This record gives sequence, C-alpha cells and structure tokens, in this order.
Amino acid sequence: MSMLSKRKINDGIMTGITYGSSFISLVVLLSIIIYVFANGIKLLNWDLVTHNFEAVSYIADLKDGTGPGNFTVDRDFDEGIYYSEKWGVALKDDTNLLGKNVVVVHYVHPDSPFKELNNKGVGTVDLALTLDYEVIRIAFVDSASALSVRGSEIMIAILDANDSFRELEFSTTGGGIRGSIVTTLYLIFFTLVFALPIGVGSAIYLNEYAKNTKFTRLIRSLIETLTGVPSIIYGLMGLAIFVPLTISLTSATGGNIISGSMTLAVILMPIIIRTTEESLKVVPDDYRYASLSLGASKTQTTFKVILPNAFAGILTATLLAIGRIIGESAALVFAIGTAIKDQVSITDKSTSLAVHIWAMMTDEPANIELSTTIAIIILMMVLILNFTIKILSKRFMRRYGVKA
Amino acid sequence: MMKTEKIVFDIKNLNLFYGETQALKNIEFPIYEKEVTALIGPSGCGKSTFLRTLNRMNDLVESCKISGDVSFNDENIYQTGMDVIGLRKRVGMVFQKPNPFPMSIYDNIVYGPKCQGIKGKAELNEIVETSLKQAALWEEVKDRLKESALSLSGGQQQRLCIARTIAMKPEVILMDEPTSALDPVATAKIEDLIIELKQNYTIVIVTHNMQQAARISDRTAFFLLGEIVEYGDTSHVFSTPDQKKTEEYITGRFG
Amino acid sequence: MTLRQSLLQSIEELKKEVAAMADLALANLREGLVAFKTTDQELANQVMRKDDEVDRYEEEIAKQALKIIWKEQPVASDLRLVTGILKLITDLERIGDHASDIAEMTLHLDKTRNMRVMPISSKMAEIVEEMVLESIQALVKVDIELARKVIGRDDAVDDLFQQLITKMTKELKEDKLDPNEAIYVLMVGKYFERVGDHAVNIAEWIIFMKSGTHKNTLLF
Repeated sequence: MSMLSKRKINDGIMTGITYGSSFISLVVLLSIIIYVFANGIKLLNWDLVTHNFEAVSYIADLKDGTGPGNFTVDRDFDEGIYYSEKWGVALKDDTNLLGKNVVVVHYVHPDSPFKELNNKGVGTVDLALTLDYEVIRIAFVDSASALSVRGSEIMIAILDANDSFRELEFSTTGGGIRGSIVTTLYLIFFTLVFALPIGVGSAIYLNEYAKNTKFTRLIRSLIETLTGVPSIIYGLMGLAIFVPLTISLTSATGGNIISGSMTLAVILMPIIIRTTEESLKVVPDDYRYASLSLGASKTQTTFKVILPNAFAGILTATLLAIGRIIGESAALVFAIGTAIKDQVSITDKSTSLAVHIWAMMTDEPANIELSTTIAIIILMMVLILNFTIKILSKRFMRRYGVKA
Repeated sequence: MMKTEKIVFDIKNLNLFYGETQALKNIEFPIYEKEVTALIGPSGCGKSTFLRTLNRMNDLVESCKISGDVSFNDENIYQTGMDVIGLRKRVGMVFQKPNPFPMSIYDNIVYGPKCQGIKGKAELNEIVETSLKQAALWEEVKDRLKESALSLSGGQQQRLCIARTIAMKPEVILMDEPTSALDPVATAKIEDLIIELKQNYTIVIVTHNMQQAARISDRTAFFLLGEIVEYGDTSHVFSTPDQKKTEEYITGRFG
Repeated sequence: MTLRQSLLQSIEELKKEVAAMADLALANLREGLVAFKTTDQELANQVMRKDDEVDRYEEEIAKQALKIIWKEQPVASDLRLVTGILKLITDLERIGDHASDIAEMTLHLDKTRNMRVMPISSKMAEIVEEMVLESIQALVKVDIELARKVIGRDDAVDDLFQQLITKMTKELKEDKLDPNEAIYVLMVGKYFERVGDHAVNIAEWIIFMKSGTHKNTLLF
C-alpha cells in the first residue's frame, strides 16, 4: 500500500471520527429535547403558568330559596359535554394540570342555583360554581352521591334524577406553577444583585490592581478549586450561615429566598470571577497604555475602557449564571426549602422551578409528565432571558460605541 | 532656522534597571524645545525604554528601578509626590502600533478631555475639530466622526492617535517608532505632519529608520547597549559623526 | 559582520575606476610633454585620441557614483567619498584635456626647430607632474598630509609662470626668441599652470572627503 493511500485512509478515519462525534452529540441533544417535548407537551397550557399550586376544595350547599328548576338553553353542547336542565350546569371529563382525570364545570346557567352557594366550611361565606372548577362529589339527601370517578355523564344523569340536594364538594384548579415561576425570577434577580458586583469587582481587582505575588496566585488557584465544589455543599453552608443570618435580620423564620440567593451567589462567584477575569485579560494592553498616556487615572482606564470592552465576557458570565440559577436544585433544597408556595414572599420559604420538579418527582407517584412540562417552560424561560439580555446589551454597547 | 535653545527635558546621570539587568547607563543629554530629537540605534538598546522614562510609563513595569535626574521644565519628574497624571497630560505618547480605542472617532479624541472633566458639547466639538485639523485628518473624517475608529486605515489610525494626544494640548509628544507599522505613503504623510507639528510641540521620536531620522530630526542621539554614544545636530551626525561607532552604524557597517 | 556588501563592493569598484582614470590622465600628461619636447607628431596624435578614453572614464564614474546615491542612500564617510569623487573627476578630466591640448601644440610646430624647451617650462613641467602624481597618491591612500603638500606647491608653479612671462617678454624685446615658437611655449606654460590648479582642486576634494570641509568651508 503506497504512502499516499495510507495517509488518505488515515485522514479518512480521523475525519470520520470527528463527523461521528458530532453526529452522536447531535443525536443525544435532540433526544433530550424530543423526550422533554414529547412527554411534556400534553400538559402544556397557559393555566399551568398562571394558576396557583394549591387547589382549594370547598363544601357548599344551596342558598336558601334556591333549588332545581328548568334551565333550558338554546344552544347544543358538543359531544362529551353533559348538561342538566334541571340544575343548569354542564359538566365534562378532563385532565387537570396534575394529570389526573377529573370532572370539570363547563357551563353554569346564569340562573342556576349553583351560581350562589353557601360555604359549609370555614372561610368566605359566598361561593360560586364557575368554569373549570373540579366537581368532586355531589351529595343528595335521599340517594347515593354522584362521584367524579364515575365520569361526568353519570354525574349529570344522577343530578337529573334528583331533586333534593345536600352538599357539593368541588375544588379550584391547582397544580399551577405560578408561585415557582415568581420564585425563580426573584432568585435570578437577587442572586445577580449579590453575585455580579462582588464577582466583577473581584475580577477587576485581581486582574488590574493586584501585584503578581505568591499570595494572589494562591487566591487565584483557590477560586479555581471552588468552581469544582459540588453545590450541595454550598447548600449545607447556606443552611448553616445564611439562613440564621436572614432569620436574625429579617422577619424570616426559616429558609427563604434571600438566603437562597445568597447561597447561589456564593456558588456563582468563582465562575463569574473566572469568566470576567478571562475577558479582562483579553482586552489588549494597548488600550491601557493609550489611556494612561493620555493622563487618565488607573480607575478611569479600568472603568471607561477596559470594562466596556470586557462587556461581552461579563455578559456570558451572566447568562451562565442565570442558567445555573434556574437549574440549581440541590443547594436550594436546603437553603430555601421545598414548600411550594402561591403567595411568594422573599422572606419566606418557596421553591424554584427546579426544586418544584424535584418535588413533583419525589411525590407518590412520580409525576413525570408534569415534570417534563415544567422542563419545557424552563427551557422557554432560558431562551427568553437570553434573548432579552442579548438585545439589551446590544443597545447598551451601541450607546457606548463599543464594538462587539 | 533659528532654534529657541530652551531646554525642555534635562537628563542627568540616568540609570535604569529591569531587576538585575541594567538597561540604561549614565544617560545625560538635553532635549530642546520645539525641535525634533531622534533616538536611533540597534534593537533593544534602550531607546524605547528611555522614551518611556520621560512620561513615567516605565512605572507600569514592576521590576523597573530608576536612579538619576530627569527634569521637565526644571522639575524632577521622579521626585516623591510628583503628579504623574499631570505629567502625562503635558507629555503625550504615540505608540508603534496604532492603538485607537474601539469607539467612534469622536469618542477617541474626547476621551482624554473628558477624563479631565471637560463636558461642554461645544468645547468638545471644538477640541475634536482642532485636533483633527492639526493632525491632517480632518478633511478625511469630518463627515464620519461617529463611525468606529477601527474602520480607518493604518495610517489614518495613527494620525488619529496623534490627534488624540494633541487634544490634551501637551508640550511634548513622544513617538515610539510611529511609522514602522505603516506603508511608505502613510509614513510620508506622518513625517510631513511631524515637520509641521514641531512648530508648536517638542517631539522626541524613536526610529529604526535612519533615513527618517535624517529627514525629519533636528538633533539625533545614537544609543548603543543602553548608552548614548553620540548626540548632536542631525546634520553633523549624518555627515561627519564624531564617533567611529556612530559612523559604522549609520553607514550600515554593522547592525 | 560587515553589512551592506553591495554598498562596499560598489565603493571599491568606484575607487578602482577613479584610480585607473587618474593613471591614464597622468600617463597622457607625460606623453603629451614628451611629444611636445621631441616634436613627435605621431605620439601627439596618440595622446589626443587617448583623451577620449579619459572622457569616457569620467562618464562611467559619474554613472556609478549616481547609482550609489540613489541605490544606497549613503551617509557620512560614504557620502563624502562619492560626492568628492564626483567633483574631482572633473578636474582629472580637465588634466586629460590639457594633456591633449599640449600634444596638439606639437602639430603646429616645425619639426626642425627645437628651441622651445626652456628651463623654466621644464621646471614647471616637473613640478606639475609631481603634483598630479602626488594628488593621485593622496587620493588612493587618503593621505591628508600629502594633499596639503600638493596644495602648498601651487604657489611655486604660479611664481614660475610669472617668471616665464617676464623672461619671454624680455627675450622677445631683445629679439632672442622666435615669436612663432614663443607663443606656443607660452601657451604650454599656461596649460602647465592650469594643470597645477587642477591638481590642487583634487587635493582639496580629498580633504573634503576626509573632513567634510572644502577650502575651509564646512559643507554640511
């Protein structure tokens, strides 16, 4: 075999390997995305994002003076929707945000007795049966209750067959992740507020001001090491330091968003310092010389010339940070806790989206579908955040006349 | 042409060390006002190092130690408490590789004045126009002041750097091989510019190109291995140099 | 390591050419004198032809010198050398011309009459020949002292020429001299005096090449 053809075969093999690796990477990435979307798309709907997580169930009975009647409507209902003319309510089968099969209110006649109900339990006195509420059980005085497990058709049939009414058990829709989304946004904001100034400031000091001594080299290698520390250890640290700190300084009583942000900030600091330092290093010394020789002070040089030029790198650091914040679950489990909240307060426990997924998955049974749906939402959030930051930064850079 | 013979920089007994290595030995000579003084000599012989002592840019090198007297207008610039930033406003520098900031042409020129606190738009505009005119660049860029400085050619960028330095209204302009990265036409433009500028500024230029030194300078100092071998009127150095080594260098007998 | 081999070689070649031109001019001068003394008209014609060669040398050397200037941008000693040479080849060429002129006199003279060698002229010829020889030596050896010596001898030549005029005037009045012959003797004497001047010019350019000063004026 001649030298030339041997080399050609070698070249071919190497090229093949590189093509092959790219192909494998592509396949793996696509598989993940496809898996997430395939599983999650079913439960994806707007309500998931806007609704509370807690589903509140109520038991109510009819207000005095109301009762069954004749509530006819002009229109026909679609297939699968069952209407009771006696009571003026239409029900259908559906799956709730958590993926369970439920009976859901489709329509309530304006004169229906169900429009105004008495709350048999504690809380607000007046209730109303409205769209999308889940009907769990309708109890009657004389006969067996209608249970949602039997399906809406049977429920309506039983309803129609009865005149006496004892009580109605229904619940608001729940399973929404609104609270967790808000928490995540709070987390992103506060973590960046803590981490960016400290991280960028440290990087500036290390790169521009510090003399190259053994001490600074030691600090640098320490920071490098810190980037490899597993985040759960930071979580423990957060539990040990930041939680008590915030408890003593604010009205918090346990893990809270502020302590979570502080913990995340500590996790992110080494990364931000590293990335910022790299982007500062890349700024050519020529600019420093030019600035100093024009009679600018070191501070002016750093903030008017070097920093704007390192902006792209700092941006990358920020985006990395955001990604990490959104995805960080282990540390937060300790530092904020795992209580899914609807009313989010920064001095109180809450869950980020990632922790929410964790909570769903550790539930009995594990709710894979919802988790994948939340994963889709996370992906979209990341995309939107990246996009927004890129656009804002482009405008910022143009204003300062700095070329990307 | 009558020279004013006023001494702007007086250097006496200057010795400079980078750590253990001595880069400048017993440098002693005066630099005269509104003249072009050229520093010639083989690579690595201390010319650029010497130039940087005049505006204390050597301060940026940690291992650099200086002894001796460098007087600027009768003031020793290495005394304790010297206002280095003030010095650099009066002694500007242009570098070998053109280094405009990645900003617009306008922003490049107003950078220095803005750092000094000048804010008025009218004043800044006037500074930009004057500096660019003095640097022979105004006609070429007056309609695109907001464009990036990096869109200019190499020669234009270097003239921009000169304009940027002039915007600070210095007394002295130091130039470290300002044309060695440029093509002959750009070089010629800058040489013409230097000849113009010396009416208003004192210029000290380091150059590898002896013909350039012969063309534009009034006085020439020949540096060899960190020492000054000869210093005198350019016409004298290039026609009848005193020192044999100078003769050998400028006739190219050794590199 | 000496750099600029191209420049060095060009300068060496230039010096060689100048030396050759000088030798030729001197040889022609001598032969012109011999031809005049011995009324050798064939020799005279030969000398006149050879003057063309001297002229060609001047052109060649001028070309080479200019080439060095545009090509090598010489400075300092190289510059003084090249420009000095450009100037002194003019004087060498004039010396050659005068040699030819002297030879040409011969063609106008009667072969039979032989009274034109006068002691003063002989003395002048002797000195001037030496001056040219010494100026060429000073050129080749770059010998300032020798050059100064050459310059110093010019006064003697001028004196002798004055003496020649005085003597010839007297002898013409006394009718001791044939006027035909006398005119040529006088002209030849004048040519000698001019050759002396040119030798002095060459010496002065040699001093310039060394010091940059020509006739006590610094030319830079």
